[in-house]
Amino acid sequence: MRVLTGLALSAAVTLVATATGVAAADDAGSAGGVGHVAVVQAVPGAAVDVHIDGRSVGTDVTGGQVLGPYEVAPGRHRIDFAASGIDQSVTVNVKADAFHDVVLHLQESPGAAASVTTYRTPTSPIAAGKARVLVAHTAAVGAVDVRFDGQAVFTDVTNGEYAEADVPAGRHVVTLLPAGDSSGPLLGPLDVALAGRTITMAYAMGNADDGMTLVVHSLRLADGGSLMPTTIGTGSAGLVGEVIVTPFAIDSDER
Amino acid sequence: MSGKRVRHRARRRAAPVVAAVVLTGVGSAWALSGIDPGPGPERGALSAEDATPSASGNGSPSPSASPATPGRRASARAERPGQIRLPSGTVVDVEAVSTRADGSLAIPDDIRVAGWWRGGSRIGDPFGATLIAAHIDSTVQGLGPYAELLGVQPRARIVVRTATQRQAFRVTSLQVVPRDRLAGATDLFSVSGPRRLVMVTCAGPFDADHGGYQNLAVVTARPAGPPVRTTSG
Repeated sequence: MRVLTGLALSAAVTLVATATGVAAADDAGSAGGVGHVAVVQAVPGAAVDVHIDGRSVGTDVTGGQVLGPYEVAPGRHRIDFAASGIDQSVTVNVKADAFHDVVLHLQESPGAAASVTTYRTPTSPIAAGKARVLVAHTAAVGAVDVRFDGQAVFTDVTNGEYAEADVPAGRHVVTLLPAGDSSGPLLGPLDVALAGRTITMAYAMGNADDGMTLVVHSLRLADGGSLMPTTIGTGSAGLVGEVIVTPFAIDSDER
Repeated sequence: MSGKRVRHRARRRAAPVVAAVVLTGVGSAWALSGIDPGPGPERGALSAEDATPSASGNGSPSPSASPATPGRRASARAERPGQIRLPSGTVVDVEAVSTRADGSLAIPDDIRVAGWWRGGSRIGDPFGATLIAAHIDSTVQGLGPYAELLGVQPRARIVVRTATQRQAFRVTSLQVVPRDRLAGATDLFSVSGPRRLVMVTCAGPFDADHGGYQNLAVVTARPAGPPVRTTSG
């Protein structure tokens, strides 16, 4: 199995909504209020056995794999990670109708023990034409900046932290760089296509020397409604009907 | 048994049939096999009986497992506008509004309250237009605060407040758009492109026999700086 680095991924990769949909608000009751847990193995070079509540969900899980999401009853659940040099056991308090990612990952400094961090997926409804992204720093590098289409959208993200935003659906070019340093990307530029009304969770994996990848999975989000308006009616009394409006436009750099 | 059946039905209703591809060669094998939303339990689905610590305490988490660390946010979350301060200093409350089935924006009737289109960008989002529209007048209330926008000056300062942040903008353009041509001017409200504030209200001429105001005044403003956290919350 190849691990694809940013340089190798010059071709466009399409990320579209996946197996699991976030139930709309009025579905939550009929879905029985279950919670969801996904496990992300983001330690390159490790082959990890994973148990949830004592039940095996994966053996020799290699770096880059996502297990689940699994439906579980709301409440506290135990996740065990076991590999050569890795022995982590954590509990996660799973909320009804929530999606939690449990990520095994390296810390910033090489040689530090692998750790586990959880990320709850922001699943609020979203309007058509938008996509949500959550990017988590789960790699053995220092603080990073994340750029979309050349613009910094998340800055100074350190190991363990995450950032999320709603962006236009469609194609974007994503780059990870050392914070404040635009010279040499850690990952990318990557061509990605984000489908409308989805959230994509992206977990950085690796280090600067051996290369970095993004481990991703996506969910479809509930419809936040609200198509673009085609008419706006903002006035009925005719009080300013005679006012002359003089249009102008200045270069935005002049402001 | 019936509990499981309900869960499967709900999952089918919520699950779209589309492919997932991951940005690592290792992950792609999982993605292709994991997306099948067909009938029957998904690979790895844990039943309630398997996953919940039993009432008797068997299978409850062992004392050696500590609560997992939640990831910390690196930045403030994006928030919807709550107030807008116009160049004169007048402050207008802002409510989130949607588009009606007929395509019209459901702006509050009260001319002192502006409507933020919830399909657009929030304060703190990285791209796109934040659309905040208000009635310029009404037969009941007279002239509204947005009337000053008809004479707004270039570089005029506007401040938008949210629950915990504020952001200043400076006006870069004032356009007059025929009301019946709005559908073709969707770039005004697009979630793509650079961050901008777009304020819309009506402009003359007024023709009572043909729907009233014939034009829209569209004021665009660009951020004067990033959103800043406010202590007032």
